[in-house]
Amino acid sequence: MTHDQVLPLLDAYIDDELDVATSVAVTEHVTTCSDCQRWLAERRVLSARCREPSLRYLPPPGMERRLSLRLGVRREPPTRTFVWPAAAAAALVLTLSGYLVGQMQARVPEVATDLVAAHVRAVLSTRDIDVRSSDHHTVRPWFATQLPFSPPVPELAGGDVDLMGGRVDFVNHMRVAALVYQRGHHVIDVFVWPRSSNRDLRGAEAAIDGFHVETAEVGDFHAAMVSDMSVAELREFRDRWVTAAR
Amino acid sequence: MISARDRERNKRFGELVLPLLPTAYNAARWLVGSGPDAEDVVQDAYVRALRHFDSFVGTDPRAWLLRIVRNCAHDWFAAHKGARPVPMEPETVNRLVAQDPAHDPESAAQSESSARVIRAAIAGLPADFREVLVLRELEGLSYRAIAEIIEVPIGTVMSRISRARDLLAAAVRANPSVSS
Repeated sequence: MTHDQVLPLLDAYIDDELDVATSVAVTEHVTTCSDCQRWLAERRVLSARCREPSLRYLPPPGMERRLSLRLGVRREPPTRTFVWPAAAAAALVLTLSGYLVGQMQARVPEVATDLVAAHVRAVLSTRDIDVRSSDHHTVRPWFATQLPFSPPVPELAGGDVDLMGGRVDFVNHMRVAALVYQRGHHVIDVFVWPRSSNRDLRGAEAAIDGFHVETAEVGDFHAAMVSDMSVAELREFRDRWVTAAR
Repeated sequence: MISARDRERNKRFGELVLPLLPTAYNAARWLVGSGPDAEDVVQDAYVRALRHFDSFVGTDPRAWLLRIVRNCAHDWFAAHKGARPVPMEPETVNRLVAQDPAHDPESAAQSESSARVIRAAIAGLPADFREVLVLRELEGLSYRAIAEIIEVPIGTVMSRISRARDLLAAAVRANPSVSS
């Protein structure tokens, strides 16, 4: 792309609103053009100054109450799609350590409790996703900037499973990629890390308090799926994920 | 007597739309220019939104609500002919900016002053540009959502945001003491 072609695209470039091919082409030009770099730097400063929180006007005190009375509508606590699993998960977090010393100790491998705990933590937290996108072209490069490896980020055909985004998590004593999918009311985390880590997953399939763990190997990666779906549903998801990732 | 269906609708409205009040108010406040007027506009918008909530089928209640807020703001301008705030002349903006205690060495004061400069500069933009800038920068909306709200193609949103930033940059640059 020439400089003149790139110029009108730079604002959309800053806003991350270009398609991937165009964005790559713009990046190629920008890395070699000091004019564009200077322009982008100034624009980013301006944009950041506009995002100063004090620029937002806040509703006057009592306005929500007045509005609420006038409409006859009350504000309900938000029902996120995974509130129910979150409640179950809260109980699980409290008992998880008990499990480790309890009768299940011999049968539940540590990596499985670790995976389920990571899943539960994420579902409970308000920030379960670091990069929110349904586009693997966005999610995959993001991981490459966060981790020393670039995991497969398949989108599943069929329309019933949505890629929600990804985050970096800490499981099995290392930083791993966590891909977040949603199917109906179920959130599915897929944890991915390289096989070269020598931390394998043999025997990690488990059922812990309504959460299931399934595992797979794809290319150079280990993958572990965690969700509150039934075992059969999760296995079906695993098989489709593996097929799409190849 | 309120029907079960209405109760269910009101419950969903309370979950999805009522919590968007800060967004609706901020947008209205930037559109109409005064606090009490913004409150009127938002009240109207919410009444209208609840009445038409059954027709909301999209996935983004924020864009849907903001489009209604925008329509109500336009109606408000129509009902108060002559009230449409004329964008400030560049000289006015410069004067406001110049009154800023921008030379204060305290960084907190400087940042406050920087916010005041930007606020005056945004307020001085013509309405079409001010609107997209507020939706993009202050509310963080995607081009697609903005296109839906102001009912123009995405390409128009893109060029309008770009032009709005050009104008804003020029207004800020006109005051060298705070352009850092």
